[in-house]
Amino acid sequence: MKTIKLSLLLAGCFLFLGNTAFAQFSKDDLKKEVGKLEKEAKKAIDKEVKKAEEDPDALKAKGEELLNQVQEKRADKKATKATETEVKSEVKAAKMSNEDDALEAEESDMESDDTMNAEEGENSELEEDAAAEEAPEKLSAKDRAMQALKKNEDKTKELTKSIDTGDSKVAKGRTKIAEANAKLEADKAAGNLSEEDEKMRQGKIDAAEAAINALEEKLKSAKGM
Amino acid sequence: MHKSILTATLLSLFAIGCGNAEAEKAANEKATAEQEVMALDSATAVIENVNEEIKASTEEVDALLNDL
Repeated sequence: MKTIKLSLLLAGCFLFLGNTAFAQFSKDDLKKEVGKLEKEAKKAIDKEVKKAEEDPDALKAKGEELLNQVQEKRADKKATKATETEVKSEVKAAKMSNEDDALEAEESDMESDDTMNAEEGENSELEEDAAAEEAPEKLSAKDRAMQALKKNEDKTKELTKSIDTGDSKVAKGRTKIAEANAKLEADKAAGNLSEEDEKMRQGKIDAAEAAINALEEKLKSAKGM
Repeated sequence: MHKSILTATLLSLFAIGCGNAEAEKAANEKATAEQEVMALDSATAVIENVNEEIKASTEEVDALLNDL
């Protein structure tokens, strides 16, 4: 009987120690992982900004490539569902880590009660303090996901607005160019224009037409996003 | 006595394994969530750039049309 009790006690001790140790390891791993990812993200964003300053065309090409990737991903799910899942998974991860902290705090409290050791009591207090310090980080991870989602929605709305403005500008521009062309032809027929004036006006019309075409291309690719 | 110790050790090893698997799962979920947020950030940056380009082009068109 005593042997059974002893073995049960031993098993309990091992269980407790094993879980505590691995919970700690997993926490450290998580912290490292998140820190690493954040650093990588910052570096990537800085790099992109620098590239954008140096060569806007290259960035545009890369941006389109990225967009295609995102679109493919979103096509598998639905656009709205994808974003909801992102937030949900982030919230779930934050909740899980909070639960881990709560469990740890409870375990540390139990430990201090059992042994009535002042040093261990101090340790558990330290653990609680550490958990309290980590709380804002976890909240900020959730907030970060929400912020990212909100920013994305805002920018998408802004883009939609810009596309609408651009579309109306293209339509107006085409009309104005047609009018300018007609006027130029009329002036040419009437013989009111010198060759220099004619070239200048034609040049302006061509430049405006080229700019409108470029804008139209950009709008077309933006609509595909 | 030996059997009991062996059982206890096995039980503890099993518990350790379970704890480890759970921790790994949590870490993976966290990493995936973080990656998704990063992907969203990248997409937002691209949208921002495209928007800026469209605005610049619209202004250019405006100026050229006014000059006609």
